[in-house]
Amino acid sequence: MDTEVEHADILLAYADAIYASDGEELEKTRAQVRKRMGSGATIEAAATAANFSMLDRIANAVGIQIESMAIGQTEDFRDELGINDYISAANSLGN
Amino acid sequence: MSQAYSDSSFAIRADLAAVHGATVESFSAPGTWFDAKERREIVALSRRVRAEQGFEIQDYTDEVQDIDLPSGALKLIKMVSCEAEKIDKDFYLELVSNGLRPEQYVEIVGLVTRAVSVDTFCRSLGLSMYLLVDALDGEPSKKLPDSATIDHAWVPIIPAGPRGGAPAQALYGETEFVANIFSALSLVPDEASGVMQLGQTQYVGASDFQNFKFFRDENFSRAQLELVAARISALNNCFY
Repeated sequence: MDTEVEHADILLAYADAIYASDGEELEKTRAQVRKRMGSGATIEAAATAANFSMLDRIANAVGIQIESMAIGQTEDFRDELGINDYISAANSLGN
Repeated sequence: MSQAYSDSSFAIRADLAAVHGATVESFSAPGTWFDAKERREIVALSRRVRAEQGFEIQDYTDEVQDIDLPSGALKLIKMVSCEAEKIDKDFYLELVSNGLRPEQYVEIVGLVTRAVSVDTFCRSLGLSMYLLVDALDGEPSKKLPDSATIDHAWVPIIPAGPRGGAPAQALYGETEFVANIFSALSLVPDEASGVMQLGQTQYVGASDFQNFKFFRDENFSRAQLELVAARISALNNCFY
C-alpha cells in the first residue's frame, strides 16, 4: 500500500507486531524503527499504539457513535476498506 | 510507584512516565463503584486473561487474589481485554439485565482499557510490566453524575455544554464540544478523566488536535502518528 508517508513500511510492520503476539517480530520491527527513525520516534509510535489500543476498546465496548460530521466525510472510502462491515459500524450506521 | 522507566534504554518523556505511574497507582485506589481491592483485581484479571489468550505481556506476573466481583464482571473483563471488537449492544444489555450496573460496566471498561494501554506501551518497547501496588483503604465514592443521559452510546454519558450542567463543567471545562470518545466513560468521571489524561500525553492534546504539523519528536510527524493510529484501529475493527 502506498501511503506517501515516509517510513510507512516499517511503522506499519511495527504496529502489526504490537497488535499481534509475536515477540520476535516485535523485537525485529522495533529495532528497524529505532535504527531508521531514532529512539524518540520509536517511543512516540509505541505511545500512539498504546493509546489506540485503549480508545478502540472503549469505543467498541460502550457503543460510541462517530461524530455526525465524520459520517459524510468518510463515506467514499469506508466501504472500500471494509470498515462498514465491522460490528461497531452498527453503532453509527444503525445497520 | 513500582516503575518509572529509569532503567530503560529509551529516554521516556517525563510526562509519559508520570501519567503511566499515576494510572497504575489509580488501579489500587478506591474508585467510584469499586473499592481498591476490587479495582486491583479487575486489572489483574485482565492481565491474566490476556496472558491466557496468548496476548504477550512483558515479564508477566499473575497478581490475581480471587476477590469476589459482581455477576458478569469477569465476562466483561475477558471481552474488553481480548475481543472488544465482538461486543455489541445485546452483550451490554445482557450483562446489565443480569445485574451489572451501567456505572460498574463503565468503571470496568475504564480500568481494563487503561491497563491495556500501559501494558501495550511497555511491551512495545520491551519494558517490564508495571507491578500493581497494594490496595489502599477507603470506600468507593458512589457519586452518579445527575446530568448523565443516553446520547451517543449505549451507556449514559454527560453531555458537553449547558445540558451537562455542573458535572460537564467539572469534567470538560467550559467547552461545548467534546469528542464522543472522551465522553464515552463520563458516567464515571474519574475513569473518563484518566482516559483523557492518557490520551493527551500518549497522542495529541486537545489544543493541538487540528494542528497537522504537531509533533513531539522531530522524526515522528503527525502523518506518521496518524498512520500508526489508523493501523491499530483497523486491526481492532474499530469503526470510530
